[in-house]
Amino acid sequence: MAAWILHLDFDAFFASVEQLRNPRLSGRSIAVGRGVVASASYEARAFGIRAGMSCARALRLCPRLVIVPPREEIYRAFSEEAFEICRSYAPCVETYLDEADLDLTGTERLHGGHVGAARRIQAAIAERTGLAASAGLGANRMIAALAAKAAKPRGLGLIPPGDEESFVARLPIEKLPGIGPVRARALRKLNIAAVADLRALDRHTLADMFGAAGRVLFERCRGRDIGPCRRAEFPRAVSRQVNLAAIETNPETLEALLRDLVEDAGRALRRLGLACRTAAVTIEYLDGIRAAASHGLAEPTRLDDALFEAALHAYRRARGRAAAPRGLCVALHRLAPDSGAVQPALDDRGERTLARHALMDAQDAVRDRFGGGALLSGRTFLLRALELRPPGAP
Amino acid sequence: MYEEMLNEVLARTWVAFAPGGFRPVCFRRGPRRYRVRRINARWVDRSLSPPRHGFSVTVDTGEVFQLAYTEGEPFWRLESLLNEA
Repeated sequence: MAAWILHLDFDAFFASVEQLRNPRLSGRSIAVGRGVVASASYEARAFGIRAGMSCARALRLCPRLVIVPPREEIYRAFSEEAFEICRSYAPCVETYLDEADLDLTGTERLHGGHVGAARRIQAAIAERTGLAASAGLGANRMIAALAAKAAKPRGLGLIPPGDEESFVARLPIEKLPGIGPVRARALRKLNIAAVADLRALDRHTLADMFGAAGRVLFERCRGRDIGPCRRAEFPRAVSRQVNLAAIETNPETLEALLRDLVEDAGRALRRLGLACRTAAVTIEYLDGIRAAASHGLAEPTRLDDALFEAALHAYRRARGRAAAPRGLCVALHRLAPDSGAVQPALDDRGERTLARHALMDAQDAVRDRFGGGALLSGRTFLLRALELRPPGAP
Repeated sequence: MYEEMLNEVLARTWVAFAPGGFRPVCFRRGPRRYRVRRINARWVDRSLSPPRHGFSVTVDTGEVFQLAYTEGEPFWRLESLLNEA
């Protein structure tokens, strides 16, 4: 059975959401970003403004450009809404913030053709969210993504089975996924300008030049992509937040609230079978000013203590003012599937690590059965006395 | 400032319920009552527990506000005012 992957890519995603949120921005040149452009509307792109460009340079290119600070949580909510539609069409959907890969293999009779299904998904997304998505159909994820890019904006690209090799052959070398500016420069020095030229290099030469990525490029320049659509999908972040009903400036209380949020987010993380590498904290002050910081971990973890340590680092960096916060948000980023295997060190610490994992699982089991407040850590016990447990806590 | 963060708890919000969901139709901010003329966008942040529903609305004065409702809370919030820029 021939494989069919549908790739969906939201057009100028962040900028489109902002134009929906504020209709007065519709039809205007806008860029979303802080210091650097993360997304530009098609009106702004006409002036040469692109993602990754500094906002100062973008303003020089288009003095009437409106720069909007990003609201990631809103963009994530919009994309989740669209992904819900995708999940009703395909059993396996792999999602990113503004892109999705749907494995439509074997669903032709169910949907009455892949092209029709793709058009219906585009229409459903536009109707439910107001967002335009470009779509690409192909035999693998790379081909589908390249077809979607070629069909932007709002279009549908289709590469029939068997045409993959000739389709990629025509592309300039920079268009091949995995070739950034540095690799492109190196290849152009060798007089390799198009993907077809890259095929002159054998597998070993490419591996010598680019390491493991070279072996992947060897397949990609022939229209083959070895990465399957992953059945397991996971969110970009797990977050928990609390709005404070009363003015609270006591550091111990605020850190206890932070611990409570981390424990709640950590439990959600473990329920999803994930581990996290970055903890981010956002503090919103009573005057509306927001401060955010994040802290990375050396290796992915699912343990509350390690997550809290990272969140506390981030919190202390973000908390640059003595003013009272109105809200506190903890977000766990850079998520990866947790293998479940614990690799203990060959000393006493190894045993302690195993014990901490077992303790975590036991705590979760108790909280799942009797509610989040059934077990409190020493720090969060303070919140019960102050009746400050977040309203969302189960 | 393009977006003024307000984060006010609204004293009163009138909501219309329909099979497709719910939407704010009117809200009181201080002494003033605003009628919702248009829902510009709506979204649900399900990464939060409990989920939070967001609405961008244009009111009868022409202003664009962002409203939020967290499931289980007995009130709506006026999150921000979106300016002309």
